[in-house]
Amino acid sequence: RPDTWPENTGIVWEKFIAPQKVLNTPSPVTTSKAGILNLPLELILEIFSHTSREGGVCLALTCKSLLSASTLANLHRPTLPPENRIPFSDYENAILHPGNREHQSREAVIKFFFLIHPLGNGLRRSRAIHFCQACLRYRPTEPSWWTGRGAPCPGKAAIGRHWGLVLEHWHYKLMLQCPECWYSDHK
Amino acid sequence: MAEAKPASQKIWLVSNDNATMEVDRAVVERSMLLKNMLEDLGGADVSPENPIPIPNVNEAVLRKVVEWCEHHRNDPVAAPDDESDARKKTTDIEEWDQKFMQVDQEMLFEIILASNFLDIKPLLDVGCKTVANMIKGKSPEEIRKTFNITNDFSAEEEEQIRRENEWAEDR
Repeated sequence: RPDTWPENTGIVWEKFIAPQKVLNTPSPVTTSKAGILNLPLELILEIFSHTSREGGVCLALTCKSLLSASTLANLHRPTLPPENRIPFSDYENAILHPGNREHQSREAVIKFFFLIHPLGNGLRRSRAIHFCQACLRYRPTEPSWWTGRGAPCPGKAAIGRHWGLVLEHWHYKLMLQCPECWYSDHK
Repeated sequence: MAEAKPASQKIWLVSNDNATMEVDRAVVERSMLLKNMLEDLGGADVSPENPIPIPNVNEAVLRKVVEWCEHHRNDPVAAPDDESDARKKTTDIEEWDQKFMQVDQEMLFEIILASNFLDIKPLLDVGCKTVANMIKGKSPEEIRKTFNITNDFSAEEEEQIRRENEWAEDR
């Protein structure tokens, strides 16, 4: 399998999951003009076997038919377990040192996440979700979602004063860290 | 003992739209299906009046496949059980093959189908690598646009995929 991912990094490849519930729901599309979808399964699997690791996952994410085929293609998704991550503040500094191993791990995973970014109206990147470069997850941007999640305790008045501003910045995608990660770095 | 056949011996193939073409045996034998068939036929004559039918493959596609086999007629034949990762590990395609594969998608997928049917593994590899290269570095939406695939996931289903792969969390 072609592989352009950096070697000897903290990246762990976990099995890509095609949710059974999604596979069991019939597709509303009954006919397709896509030549690739008219190939027999064995040839679709042959194509999967030649894709890069992230290419295979992106191909599986295009439609139900290819998601279903991907269950036989043994695909894996990149993860960076918390124990293999450097603190986010160190990662920001690591940008100055592109050869740094920890920096490469996180950057490669972030690039993958940008590739699979959820889309919203007009096929533009969804405004409802923003990617947190610290915990490496898509998280909602709606400030009300964060009520009760990661909010500073009332005793932390100094941080509490900033909390509303952090939520606003996150809402407008002006931060790389989600509010929860920000708070955990500043508490 | 089977009689040795000269590489320049002519073989006639007929496409599913009734176009007959004359091809050197050495070229035809790039196809494992036809090679085995010719060996099984033994001394039986294949002639312009009695060509080998190639069902499922039309003239345009068969001509392309024969063109590829002509160019690669002297390539070493891979072992039949060569399913190793070696041939899959690279998406590199030699320059001639890259130009050969500069065809529309309909033809590309027809070549893949024909090479699979005729059992021409190196051509199948080139075809699949070409498709893999068209996918490389693209987002799912860009891949949909490239191959004219309709997104049939609902927003909830997309969210479920993200959730189960731990790319996002429950809302």
